[in-house]
Amino acid sequence: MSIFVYLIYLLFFIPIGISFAYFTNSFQAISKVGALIEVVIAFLLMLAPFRTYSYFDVNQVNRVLVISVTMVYLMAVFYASKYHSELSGDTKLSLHYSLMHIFTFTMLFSLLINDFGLMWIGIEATTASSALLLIIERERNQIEAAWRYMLIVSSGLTLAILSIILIYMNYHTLTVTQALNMGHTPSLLLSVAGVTALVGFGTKIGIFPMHTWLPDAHGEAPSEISAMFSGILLPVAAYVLYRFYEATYSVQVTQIYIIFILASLVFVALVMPSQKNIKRMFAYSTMENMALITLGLITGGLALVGALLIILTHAFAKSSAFFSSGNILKLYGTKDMTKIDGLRDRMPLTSGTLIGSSLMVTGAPPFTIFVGELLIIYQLFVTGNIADVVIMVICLFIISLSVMYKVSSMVFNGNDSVKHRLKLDLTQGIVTVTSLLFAFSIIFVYLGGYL
Amino acid sequence: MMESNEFFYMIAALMLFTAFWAQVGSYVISKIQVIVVQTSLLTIYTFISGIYSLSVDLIVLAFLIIFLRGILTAIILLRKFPERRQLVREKSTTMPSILIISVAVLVFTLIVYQLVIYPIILSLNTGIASGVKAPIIAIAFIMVIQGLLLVATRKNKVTQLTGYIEVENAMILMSLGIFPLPLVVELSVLLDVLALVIVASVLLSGSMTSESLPELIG
Repeated sequence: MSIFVYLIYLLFFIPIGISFAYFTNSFQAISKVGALIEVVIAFLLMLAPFRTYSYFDVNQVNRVLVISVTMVYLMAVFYASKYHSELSGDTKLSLHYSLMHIFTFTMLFSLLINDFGLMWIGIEATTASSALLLIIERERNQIEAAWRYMLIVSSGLTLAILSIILIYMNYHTLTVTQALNMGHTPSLLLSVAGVTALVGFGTKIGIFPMHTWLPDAHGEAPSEISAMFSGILLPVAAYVLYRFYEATYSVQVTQIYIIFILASLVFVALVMPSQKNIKRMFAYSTMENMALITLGLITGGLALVGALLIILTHAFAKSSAFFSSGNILKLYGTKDMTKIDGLRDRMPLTSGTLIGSSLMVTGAPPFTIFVGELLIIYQLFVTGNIADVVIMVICLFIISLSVMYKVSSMVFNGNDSVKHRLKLDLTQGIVTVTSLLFAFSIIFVYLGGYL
Repeated sequence: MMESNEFFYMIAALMLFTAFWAQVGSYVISKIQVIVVQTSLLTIYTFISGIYSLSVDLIVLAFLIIFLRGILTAIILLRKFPERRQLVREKSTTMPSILIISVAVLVFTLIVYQLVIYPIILSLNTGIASGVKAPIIAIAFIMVIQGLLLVATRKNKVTQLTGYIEVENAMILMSLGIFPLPLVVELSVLLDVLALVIVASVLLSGSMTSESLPELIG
């Protein structure tokens, strides 16, 4: 058996193993060490040639996602230790950590398993393992958001079972690589499979109109969980949808996907200017980024590279944005952007990370999401989808302008009355800055030819 | 074979009746009764299918369905209720309006089935289509929509959860009517749903009613 199979098993075993740290007092230290080892294994897995390993599959897209999942997980584990410091010694915090580990395992499983049925199960398991992560503070809003998240996503995902049934009926196998190697002639049966996969997994990704859980869950979750949801969970679901798309694509299916993606962009462009809650604003920004990632994945060619660039940069930049929001919430005690001002002088470090991460996630040049968007636009031009490009560019412009206006107002307004700085915890500050630096460094990954 | 098909259709039709029972019952306890009865019918369907097709997988699946969904799910949900559980009712539920909406959705679903799904079944080549039971697909499709209707239109969380489980039951029924999935996948689906029910039972510890909160608007 290849050494990479053992690495994959180890990648699964570590988060499951350290989730039992719930029963010890040193669960935080064990969690941090375990998450660090997980990152090392993920990087070792980069050496694996693209092929199947026992029940698993390593390819160009999922190996990038494995890296982003483990790294955001590591940062979230560190961030949570200080963000929830008031719960120190409480079993709620140890349970929170254990659930974070299981949640990470379910994401990694969904990424690497080479079976359509088990991929679905992995994604469904991410919902079961993450719903309780929202309610650590047991507030009414959090419980309601968690309920909506669980119910809407699970109901939506159930519809994707039909896609699995139809794929199995057509290929007589659920092994992903085997089905894809067989190739397929577009048929009505597979088109239905493709569309039901879009409806099912689109609910998890936050594709309009199945997105309704997304702003609630992202807005109410603790900041490190918002970062994990936005930075890695949704791209994992987008990857799974991409695998289903590969097995079912046809011209009609692609058109339907593009219609839903553009509808998502238009919707976000319409609601973004009226946002007042900082975390909901970034949640809607995630909807935009997910729409772009899905568009890049299904367009293929250079757009696929563009999607990978956005996946990696977005994972870290959006995490940094949510960490920054968490820092602000902790010290200002509000998520309402109309009540937040004077950030530049009160929280200079966080104001820097907030502006930097906002520029990145909105696709401002010269950051890598901008490069990714350019690659997607180029590929769409080459394939003659000029109308789609026009709609996309207009929406992206409105969204970017709205986000940057609101962020600038918080950072630059009201600094005259500031008398003293607010003291940010060192760990929270380091994690927020590191996340932003990782996002910035993706350009070197691209220039180094690793994508 | 014809007679056996009629038996399957009858079981599926009874499942459809339970879907309407879930819509009209105003006492919340009746929703859990719906889950038990509907799951029992699904178990019978799966078991008889297994006997007819000599499939051990389906027979095992039947036992797992009744144990994991019929018994365990009901026990978990019943524990969330207060002592006088028979008296818990849904708020703001008026029977006539629900019946009208439910029947209207049924008619709409049948039209969609006839115009969209049935032509797809007809377009399948004979090799693939030989095991497909069109009436079962129709019934499962209606149950999916009725289940989603429960999720979308009700405020009581137990009723919403019943809708979700109904959709899951409908998908298993649909799978049996089209092309049964491997046992490992079906089993994992059942376990996943059980895990979600456990999570739901934790979330039910607060209010039993889904609320519209100002923080969650916009």
